[in-house]
Amino acid sequence: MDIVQDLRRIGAWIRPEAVRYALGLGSLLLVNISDVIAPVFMAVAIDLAEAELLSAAPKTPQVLAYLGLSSGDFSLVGAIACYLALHVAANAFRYPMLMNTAVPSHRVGQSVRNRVVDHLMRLSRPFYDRSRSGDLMSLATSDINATRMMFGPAILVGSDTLMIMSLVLVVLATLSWKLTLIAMIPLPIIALVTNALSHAEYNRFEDVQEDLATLTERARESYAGIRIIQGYAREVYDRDRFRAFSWRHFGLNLRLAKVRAMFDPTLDLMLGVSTVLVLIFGGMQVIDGTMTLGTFVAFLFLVRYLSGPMIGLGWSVSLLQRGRASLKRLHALLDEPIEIKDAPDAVEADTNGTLQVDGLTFAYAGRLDPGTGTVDLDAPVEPVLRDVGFTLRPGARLGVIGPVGSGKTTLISLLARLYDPPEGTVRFGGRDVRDITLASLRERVVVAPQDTFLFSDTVARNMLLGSPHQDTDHARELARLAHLADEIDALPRGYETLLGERGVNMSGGQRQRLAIGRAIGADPEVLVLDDCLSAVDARTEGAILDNLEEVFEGRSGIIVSHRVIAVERCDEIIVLEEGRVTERGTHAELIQGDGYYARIAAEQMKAAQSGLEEVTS
Amino acid sequence: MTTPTEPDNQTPEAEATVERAALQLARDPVLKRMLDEERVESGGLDTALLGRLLTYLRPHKRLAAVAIVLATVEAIAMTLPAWLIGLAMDQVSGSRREGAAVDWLVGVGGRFADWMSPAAATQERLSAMVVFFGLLVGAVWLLRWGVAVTTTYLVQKLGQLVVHDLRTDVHRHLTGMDAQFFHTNPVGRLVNRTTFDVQALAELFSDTFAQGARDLLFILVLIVVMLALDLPLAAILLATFPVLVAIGLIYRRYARPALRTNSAVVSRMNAWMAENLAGMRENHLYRAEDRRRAEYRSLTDAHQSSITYVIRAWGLLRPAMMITSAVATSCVLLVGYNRVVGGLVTVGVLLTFLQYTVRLWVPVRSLTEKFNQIQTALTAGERVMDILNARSSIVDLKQADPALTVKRGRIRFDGVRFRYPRKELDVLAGVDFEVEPGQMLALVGDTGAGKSTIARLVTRQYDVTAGEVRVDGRDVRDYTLNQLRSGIAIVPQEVVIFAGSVRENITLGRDIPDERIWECVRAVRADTLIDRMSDGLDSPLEEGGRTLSTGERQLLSFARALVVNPPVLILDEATANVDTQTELLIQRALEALTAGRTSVVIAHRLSTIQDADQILVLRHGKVIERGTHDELLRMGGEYARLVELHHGGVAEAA
Ligand SMILES: Nc1ncnc2c1ncn2[C@@H]1O[C@H](COP(=O)(O)OP(=O)(O)O)[C@@H](O)[C@H]1O
Ligand SMILES: Nc1ncnc2c1ncn2[C@@H]1O[C@H](COP(=O)(O)OP(=O)(O)O)[C@@H](O)[C@H]1O
Ligand SMILES: [Mg+2]
Ligand SMILES: [Mg+2]
Repeated sequence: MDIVQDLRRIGAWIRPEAVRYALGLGSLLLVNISDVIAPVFMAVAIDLAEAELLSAAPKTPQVLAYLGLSSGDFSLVGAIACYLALHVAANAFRYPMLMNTAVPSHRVGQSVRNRVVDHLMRLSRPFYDRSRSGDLMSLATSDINATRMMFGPAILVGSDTLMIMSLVLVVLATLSWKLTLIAMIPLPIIALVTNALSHAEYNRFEDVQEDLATLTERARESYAGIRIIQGYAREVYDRDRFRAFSWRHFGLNLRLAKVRAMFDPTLDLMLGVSTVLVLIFGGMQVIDGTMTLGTFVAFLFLVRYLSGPMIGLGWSVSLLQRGRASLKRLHALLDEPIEIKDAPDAVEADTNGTLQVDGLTFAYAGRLDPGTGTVDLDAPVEPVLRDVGFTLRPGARLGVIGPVGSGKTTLISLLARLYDPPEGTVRFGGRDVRDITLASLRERVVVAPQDTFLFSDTVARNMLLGSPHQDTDHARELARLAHLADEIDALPRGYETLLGERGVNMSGGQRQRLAIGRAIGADPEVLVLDDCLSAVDARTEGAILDNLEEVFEGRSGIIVSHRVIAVERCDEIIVLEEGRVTERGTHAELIQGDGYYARIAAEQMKAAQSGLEEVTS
Repeated sequence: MTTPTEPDNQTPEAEATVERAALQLARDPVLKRMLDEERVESGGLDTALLGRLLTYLRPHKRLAAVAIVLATVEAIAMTLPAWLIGLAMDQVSGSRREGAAVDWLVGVGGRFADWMSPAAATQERLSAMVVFFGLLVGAVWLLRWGVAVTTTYLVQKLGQLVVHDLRTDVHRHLTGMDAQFFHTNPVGRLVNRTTFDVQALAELFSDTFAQGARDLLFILVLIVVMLALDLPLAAILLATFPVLVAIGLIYRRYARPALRTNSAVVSRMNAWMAENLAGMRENHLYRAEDRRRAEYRSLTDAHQSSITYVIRAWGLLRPAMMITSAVATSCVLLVGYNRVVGGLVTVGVLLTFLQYTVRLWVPVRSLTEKFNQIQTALTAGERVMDILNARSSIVDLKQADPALTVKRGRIRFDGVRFRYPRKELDVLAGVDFEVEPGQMLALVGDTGAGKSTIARLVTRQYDVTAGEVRVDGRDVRDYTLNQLRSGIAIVPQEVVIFAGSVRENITLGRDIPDERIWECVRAVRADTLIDRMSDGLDSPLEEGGRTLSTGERQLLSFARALVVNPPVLILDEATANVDTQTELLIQRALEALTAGRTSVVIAHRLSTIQDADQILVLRHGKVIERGTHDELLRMGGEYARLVELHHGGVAEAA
């Protein structure tokens, strides 16, 4: 039942390459036939030699006899020519065999990869909240690899095994079935040993790889945090820590080395057992005169073809086992439902619609642990937003202010449908956002997130991420608006400078400004800035706020901040506290009250007032 | 190594083809950068480098010696079965062979046969001989198994020991480098040197040197055995070596760039995946899904293209080698036949030779592949050695007194000028100031004015170009780096959080009692945060502290500074990322933080520095105003303008 499903899946994946596989396996059959028959001609040659030496009529190996031929029909040169020709043929077919199995298997691997990425791109925030990125990473790397190994080497080696086993058995059995049976004694053991060893090897290798990632991460941390390590004179501690990690990695590698050291010699030993059996029992048959010397030699060479496939069988079975498990995990991912998607009757959003939030109460699916960052789905959840409402008409500007954790970012996320708001609570142009296509909604409502993510790509391409225009001039204009132009020009390669691990690191303030530029670049109708001025200095903040006047020409905006100066020019300001709107009004109105807004406004201008009074007095 | 190598035009043709194909398909600037950076710079073998690498074997001399002896035994054991089988054959077919070893073995076999079946017919004696040889072959094979397992293991262990040594060396060296070095070398590159390049070097030791030596030994022993058995047949086999080697070299030429390109593509794909999982929110918000899909598809296309080259090279190598060995087998058969017939050699010898011919290409092939590894490893080795050769320009001077510690925390700048290496302009153009112990100095000015540079000079991340920086009346160069930095805690804007527990992040591995940690945590108001975590101080934090808000990360870094109780504290825009409420908390925390010690505070929120004993306003590396908050406001200069700018809106409305 399970197996049937797995086979169906495997079949579905490789169907597009079926013709190539057929060609490849066909070539493989030809390779094997030539390979197996060739040693028979070696036998003929040896028998001819012995006959000549003893001046007797040459004996004929059974295989030839079955074909109605006898050794006498061949001259030595003829026998050798046949031997050589068969070998050349076998090897000539090896190339198409490989090109038609390995290459298509990689192509199947690529389509698995692309399908996985397609799906990952469509899955929504709630899914990413639930999953650990390490797990997703290992799905996308080792599981896909294991699946590819199943589509490629496992199938190739598995078929090879079956073909060559039957061929060799036929040939050997015609040479001498008794000896064949004896030579087969170690074969099941070989298959079992290979299987066990390759499982052990795989598991230990995975451990090593996983640990290598940890070790790499440690090194990365040391170098990225060098200012702290050196600044606190903790180099020795850090070195000891790294040494401990390195030593653990050494231990894991040694564990792997133990299996690896066993692998080849053990399989070779199995071949040895077969050879010894053939030597003893075959030798006795030669002495009895029941077997020709040539046949005996052919046996010695063909035994190799028996143990080889057995190794292959053990190996490919373990690849299949692994591949099946991985494929299952991959399909679990591919079957993961997409929570936030276009409704079946979704329509495009109106242009310049009014954004209306009404009675919005929202709770996340689980509780967020600040340490690990994982969401605990079983913990009881409280709504993060309670009965929030506001209206944002085209061209208007809304300020949102409130302490950390009050739900500002959550509110913003719901507007762009990173999470689905309850039905009817968020409307754009009078229509529930859940009835609007995601693409058109996100084209009109664009958020510059609080801690934005920069990709290891050029400055320009990061800046133009959501922009319809991809030219550097446009990036330059955006940089000007975000007050980042001078700093970009000072970079080694300007707008073509690579950011990230392999390039330049930007400071927090620069990142925030790039996020603003990026959001403006997407040319939205509603521009939402989620607290993206916190890390820039006052002068720059002022300049950006001035530039924003230009940007907000013809669009509406939401500015989230914890600083009064950023929201005071807004048409309406709402104060969020513990998920509720506790105050709303213009700056002038709110400043008169005695709520949160007036309080922090007072805090923030305390210094200014004392100072300015003195200046102006 | 500080400058990334630009792509050079002299790369071999094949290399260019694979790479070009992959790059054209991928259209990915990062992949290009990776290929450029990891490009093999030199062709030849650098013997000096090899010598230096071999010194890493010295601590493990004994292990190395044992491995070499075992490998020799193994090589001999490898050749024995075929020879024994040939001998057994001769016994069976009744041919006679000369030689002391042969006579002795046959003698032993004879005694075995006598013991098995005394005074039996010749045929039974012969069978007993066959059994004897069969058991002998079995015994040799068992020995070979034991030796092979042990050798392989020891060799791997040796290699891994060397990697461990080298890896910790590189890490130790890098963590001692100066700020300028880290400024010019991206972290990703340094990480690669520490793990992947060192790993490649390990393969040089464990796989290449050791396994290669085994292959070579095997070939050598084989040659000796063959020459001893029969000259003409041996000559035929020897003649195939050059052909096999030539095939190997051709393979190398084609496979190597393909392998290199492919592995770069694979690591780029992994990095792409990690990055896009982390940045998925941005992909959704900016509707970049299709663009990302296309990017990834291009990468998989590049992967397919480069792997096809690899498969093709491999698909040609093996058949070519096998056909060569089939030709050799045919020649051996042909010549051997005539020699057997002529009575010059026995059938057994011919059989032994036939068994050798079919095995010959295996070590040659693996040596060919080794050669690839040697080159990869040596390039990696070169890069690693470059790192180890790089010298830090900030080191303890000879006059530094290890007993000298920062006690009171008086800081003085005397006509300090400073210019970053390889820059034309002075970033600091003559800065003078003095901070008394326990006082607070505030630095104000636009981005790029030189504020952080001053902080860096105090902790000697750089040395002044001219002038003098004094701490407690002594030049900072009179202190050892360790003592100087132990007395000065710095809290930068970009908080560093290490993967590890909250405790480790605060103490940085120092042994500090819990009460003291909690005291500091409470002082900076981080206690509520830690209370919310499941395991208190032992709660694990993710690398980079991704899961904490910026404000929360900052609080932890305050606790980290407070816990060492340093005479001097430097806060470089440490309150930039926090909201007003947290800022208020921090403001109070700051009082706790700065009480009773000298502090240098750089802030763009001017509210944090009103109580400073001295404020310096910097512009273009010069102090343009200095005084207290009140004095500066009264002066009505740049500072007053900044304050106005900062609070203008608020005050206006009020
Ligand atoms: N993905 C999530 N899953 C569960 N809880 C979350 C998630 N994101 C945020 N929270 C919780 O929701 C509350 C509000 O967070 P947020 O909207 O980020 O506040 P703000 O932006 O105002 O600082 C916090 O208590 C936070 O822990
Ligand atoms: N490591 C460095 N190498 C070269 N130039 C640098 C380096 N660090 C800073 N600079 C330059 O020195 C100037 C002063 O920088 P900094 O002291 O960081 O200013 P501030 O902290 O006042 O913003 C800036 O123009 C900056 O670009
Ligand atoms: Mg937020
Ligand atoms: Mg600075």
